Amino acid sequence: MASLEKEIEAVLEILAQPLSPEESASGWTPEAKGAMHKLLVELKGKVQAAQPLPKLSLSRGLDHWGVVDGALLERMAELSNELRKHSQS
Amino acid sequence: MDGLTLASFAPQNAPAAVSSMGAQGANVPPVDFRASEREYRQQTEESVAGNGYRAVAGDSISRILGTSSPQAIGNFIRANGLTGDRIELGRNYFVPDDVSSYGDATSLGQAALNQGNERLAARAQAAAPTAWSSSGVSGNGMSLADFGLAGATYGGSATTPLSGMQRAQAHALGVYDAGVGALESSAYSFGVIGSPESRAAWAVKTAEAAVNGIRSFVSDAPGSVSRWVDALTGDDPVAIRQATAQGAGVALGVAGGVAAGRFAMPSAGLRTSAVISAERAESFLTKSGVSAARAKDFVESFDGPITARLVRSGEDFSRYTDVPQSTGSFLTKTQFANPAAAVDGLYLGPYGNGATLVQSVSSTGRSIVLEGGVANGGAGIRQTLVVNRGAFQFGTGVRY
Repeated sequence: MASLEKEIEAVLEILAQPLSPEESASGWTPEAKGAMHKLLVELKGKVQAAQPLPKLSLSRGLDHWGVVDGALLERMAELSNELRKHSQS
Repeated sequence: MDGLTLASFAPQNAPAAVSSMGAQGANVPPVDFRASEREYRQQTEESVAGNGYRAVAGDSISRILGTSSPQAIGNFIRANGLTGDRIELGRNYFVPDDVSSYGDATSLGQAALNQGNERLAARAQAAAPTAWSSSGVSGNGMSLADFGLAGATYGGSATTPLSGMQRAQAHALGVYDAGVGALESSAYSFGVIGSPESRAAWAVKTAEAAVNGIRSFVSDAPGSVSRWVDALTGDDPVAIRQATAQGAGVALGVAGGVAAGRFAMPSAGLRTSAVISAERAESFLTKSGVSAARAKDFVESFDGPITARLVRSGEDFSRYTDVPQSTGSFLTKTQFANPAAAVDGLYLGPYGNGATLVQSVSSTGRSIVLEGGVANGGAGIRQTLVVNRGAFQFGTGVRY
């Protein structure tokens, strides 16, 4: 769980930064980054409280935002798969 | 995996005749099945039970009987006093209930089948060598073969190069195998052909085929697709025939239809779809260029069975988003009345997406998509995962 929490924090740091040209080219928008930042803050809180997590697919959620490729999307997909290991059955 | 495939259940002989043209039928001497019946009565003093049947376009003896059994074919030929395997459009024929009603007719039937094989091969020489390729689907280097054609166990090991004629014949026979599978399925399922007993036997056979077909979808060993390609392009006539049958079967919707438990035939032509396992879906995505992490994450967003489906040009979908000029891989056929319904139905709430805009999306070419329910989404709401966005045209998002 500690490593999961660390990874969430690392991604949150990236999401808190201004939109980069690479991210923009991949479909990221300030709104998308903001929405994902908010979601990960909530998830981090649940992880810290050892609460079950909702079953999510972050890359699908991002797809609806128009984020279709890039390093940050890949990282969030990996994080999503890790989060699901702690989700409600 | 027991090595059984859909092709394992296909008839092992070519049609006794493929005569839908009046000119061909005109060469057949007029048949009076009553005369045959009288002769038989005189010889045996027994009547033969059966039914009359008027031949329609595309009929063959095999099709009329629902089998390519040499005995059944020969019995039919004898019952109707025919001199060969050809039948005439519009003519009445007598179909005996008992395939042995006119004695052992295996040799006669086999000879007719051989005639059919030779004629079919001759016809196919020019066109058949690439008939199987119609099952391929452009884009992503993937094809429907990846979903249904894997898992065949080919025992052939011939290495002698085949002549063009031999290769054409093997392809033609394979196309026939698949075609008869489709014809038999439709005719039997509607009770058009066969006796009650033969229909019951067919039902058992089809159930076995379905089970084994599904097995091949869900538990195929990696590399089986390449084995299929090897079989198709190799020099073993039996393997070529099997591989061609499988390819043509997919083109006809046989493999997909059986595996999915249904046939779908829209006006645009035969449509192919198949229920696949999550593992197969992930494999398909990664082979299509999606990273392993995203493939797993995408597949987890489905609820229930996942269907791989061939989408043809001109099919319409919708995409819900907050970004008007964006594109994406997740579409749906559902038309939501308002953004709140879309957010609930597609489970977009956690991601902060208000689904305030809807885009019209149209397919511009053939591609394979994955479809299924939405995890945590609305009941009955289905999503379509596009892996080749280049085969789709995305409109600008508009409020609704």
